[in-house]
Amino acid sequence: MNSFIRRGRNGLLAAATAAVLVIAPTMSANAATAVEPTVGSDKPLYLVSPEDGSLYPEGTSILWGAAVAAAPTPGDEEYDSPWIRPAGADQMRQFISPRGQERNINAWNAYASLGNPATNLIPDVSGFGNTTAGLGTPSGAAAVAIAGGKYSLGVAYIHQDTTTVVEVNYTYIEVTANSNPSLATYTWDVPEVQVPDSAPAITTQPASATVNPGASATFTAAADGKPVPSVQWQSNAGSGWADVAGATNASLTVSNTTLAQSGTQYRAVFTNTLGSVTTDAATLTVAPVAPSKPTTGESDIADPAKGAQSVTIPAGVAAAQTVQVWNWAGAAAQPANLGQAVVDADGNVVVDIHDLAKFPAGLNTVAFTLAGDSSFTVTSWTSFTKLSGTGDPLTDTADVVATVTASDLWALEATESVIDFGNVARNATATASLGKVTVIDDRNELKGWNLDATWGDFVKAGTTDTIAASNLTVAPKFFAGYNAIAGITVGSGAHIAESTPVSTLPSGALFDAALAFKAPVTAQAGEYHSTLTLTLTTK
Amino acid sequence: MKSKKVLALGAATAVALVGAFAAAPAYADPITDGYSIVGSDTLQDAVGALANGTTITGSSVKLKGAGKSLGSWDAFTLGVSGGVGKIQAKAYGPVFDRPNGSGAGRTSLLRSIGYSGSTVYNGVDVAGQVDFARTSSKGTSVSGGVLTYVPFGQDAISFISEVGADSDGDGDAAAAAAWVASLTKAELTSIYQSTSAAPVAVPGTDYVVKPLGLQSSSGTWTTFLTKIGVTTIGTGVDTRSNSIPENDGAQLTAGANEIQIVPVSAANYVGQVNGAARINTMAGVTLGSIDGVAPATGSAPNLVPNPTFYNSADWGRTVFIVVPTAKITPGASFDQGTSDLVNTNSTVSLTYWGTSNAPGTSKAVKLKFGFAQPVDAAFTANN
Repeated sequence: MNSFIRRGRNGLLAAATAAVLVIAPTMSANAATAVEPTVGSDKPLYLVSPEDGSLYPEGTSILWGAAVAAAPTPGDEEYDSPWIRPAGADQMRQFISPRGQERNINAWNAYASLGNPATNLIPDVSGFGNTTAGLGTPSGAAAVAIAGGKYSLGVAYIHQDTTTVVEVNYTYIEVTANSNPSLATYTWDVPEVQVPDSAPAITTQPASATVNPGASATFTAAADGKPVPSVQWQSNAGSGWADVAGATNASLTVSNTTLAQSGTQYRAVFTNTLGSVTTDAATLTVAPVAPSKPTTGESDIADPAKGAQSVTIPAGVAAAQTVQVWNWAGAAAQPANLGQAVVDADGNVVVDIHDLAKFPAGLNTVAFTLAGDSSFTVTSWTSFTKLSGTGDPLTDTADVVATVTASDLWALEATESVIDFGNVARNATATASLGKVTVIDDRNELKGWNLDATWGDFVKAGTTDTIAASNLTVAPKFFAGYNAIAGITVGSGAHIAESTPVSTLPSGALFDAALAFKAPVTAQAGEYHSTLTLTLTTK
Repeated sequence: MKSKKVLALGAATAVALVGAFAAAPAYADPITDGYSIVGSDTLQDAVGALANGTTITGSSVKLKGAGKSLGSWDAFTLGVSGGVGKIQAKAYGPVFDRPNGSGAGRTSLLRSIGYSGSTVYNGVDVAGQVDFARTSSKGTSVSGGVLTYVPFGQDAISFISEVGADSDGDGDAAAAAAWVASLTKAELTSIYQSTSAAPVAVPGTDYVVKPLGLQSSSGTWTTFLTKIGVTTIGTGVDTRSNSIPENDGAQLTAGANEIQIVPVSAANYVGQVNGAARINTMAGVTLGSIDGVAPATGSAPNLVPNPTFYNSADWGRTVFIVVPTAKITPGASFDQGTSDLVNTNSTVSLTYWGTSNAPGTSKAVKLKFGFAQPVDAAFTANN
């Protein structure tokens, strides 16, 4: 069994440290929800640490009253990326506004002056720092914290006389309401790094292609650029370049090529708002590289017997000529080139068919062309069915017997007996590991099981001071390195794990949990104890 | 018949209005809906900049506490006879004597919280009118005291000097200037014990030294005298009827063959010559080294405190922000905004001195004003 010990911090300014700058998220499924991407800001606004200018990561949350700085770059650790006052502005402000109302000063919820500097390095834009209540609803920074919800937070350069916004830079925030504004928190959107626009630049030139008549040729090109460039393929069959209708993708496929198309050139033109660039030309060559599958004039020969090593086929040309041997296996459209052979004295070619890779079982269509004939005219051809050389399928039966044994073990072990969170300041969260918990269920009769944790309020010895049990959160997980057996699953919160009827094996199923303890702002300092009980029950 | 009525009301009303103005503040200090801070003038320029907002570090820095602003009142009203005058701190609040130094600031804060049963400060009920005090001197450390002193920064005490004209043309002004640029503690002691009949003479010249004394409620003055071991000042010390304000180089008006010196806060000297303070009164005066150690190094506008001088027990002093303990401790009187403004972990509190070198912190502002990392720790007191 485990117990928890918490030591409070004694000290003069313990209360003064309650305003923690940033709360790290507890590991729960809800932390994955991101704030939607900011829309409409003149420049991206990044929230950074006021202590060192480093970018605050997405998913963390900030207290409404905590100092937080804003930069136009994702971090400003050199303190050399200031906000720059645009022409026509005579005051800079921090502000909170409803989304979509960032340019409407009369709709802002709250704001405060940041002076009128020509440049401003990582100014503070804390929620509660917006000390002037705006005309929008809710009105005032405290009201926003109490109401919660979705807003924009940022900086604006204004022209005071005409109450107009010259430039506004902001990020979307989501405020978690709290009746005490100082305890409200918010998360925010980290803008994507802004990549400047660029004219298109070719990254992939199209390659020339040589294909058989009737086959397809594909040309592919690519270009960088921002905005993403559009593509238009062009062709030139000898009388100049012209667009290929509808060819507006990165790849162009020319189907059912004919000999007449051979020599046609293709190129792609990439265009965006900043300009246009054209690839080199790629040439389509359509030329026979293999004979077309013959359909008429077959030389009729008998199918080879099962296990025959060769078949004799009339060559269609005179003896001692060298022919190219082609085979279409099954229904293949393109033949395999099987090399050359010499026509024997009888005008035949003896083709070795024992190689299953070249002559698989089933229909084979063999054709000859004269070696060196680039028109690949078929001189003679035949088709035959080859029987399998390896024999017919065999069947045999065997009685397979196995006796399942089990250790009949049923056990629960936990490594840690004491979990000490150490010193925890008020409003801070301390984390600790539950430690390895082993469940062994190798009973003869499997039924499945549940593993649950319970714990009571934390009590300070000798007093009635308590901290509610709800200040401890548990996030169960598998122990590091343990590979779960199917059917064993991790739960959430106090329900650590469960299993369907499956053995954990005597080595057991290993679990751990991330414990988080948050000290309330109202807690008296001192050492608190609670006891956590793990219970394994069969289903 | 028409009757004629004479409007005699106008004249009577005018007289009544003149009478009512007599109790009003001498000139228009602003009031605050938020927090108020009064007291020592050693910290007033730096605290004023932090309260009103400053861009001197390249970043906008203005301190706020739980959504409320801070209003800072100077210790001294220039141009008003006696320099004190009156202030009104909060909306609809009473008009009361301007607390003109560390001691007065802490007293007005104690009365504001009704310590020892009274909320009356110089005849006026100031309950709730003062939230913080600036102080360059310390109360007596007591466990569980009603006031908490939180370190604001490190300052040091030195002196400034001005060398008068060489009336007899014997060319000894340079030697006089060289001598007074660095004095020993023993020399300062004898200067401030000298009599008007026998002032301290500058060796090898016919110059004499005329020491000036700061007004009596000044923490800088009382600390300086303690540091040089003087309990009774000599008759040679000119206090100009207890009217000389701190940190004002224009007070030095050396006559012919005369050197005038006066104690000064080294931080204020640095802040003024760096251009951080509102005005620079230090043109034509020299910051003195003591026992061979200079209080600051570098040159304007980037003069920096010298840690050897600032951290020495002899001349260094930690200056503090004083706040009622109950307001920063969990309990019925806890106030989030008060606590935020003295939260040493917050980069935008009065008391931040973390490791950051970022321009948007109160530390960066305080460095510009000549303060350094504080040496003393926080403590509580009842005075």
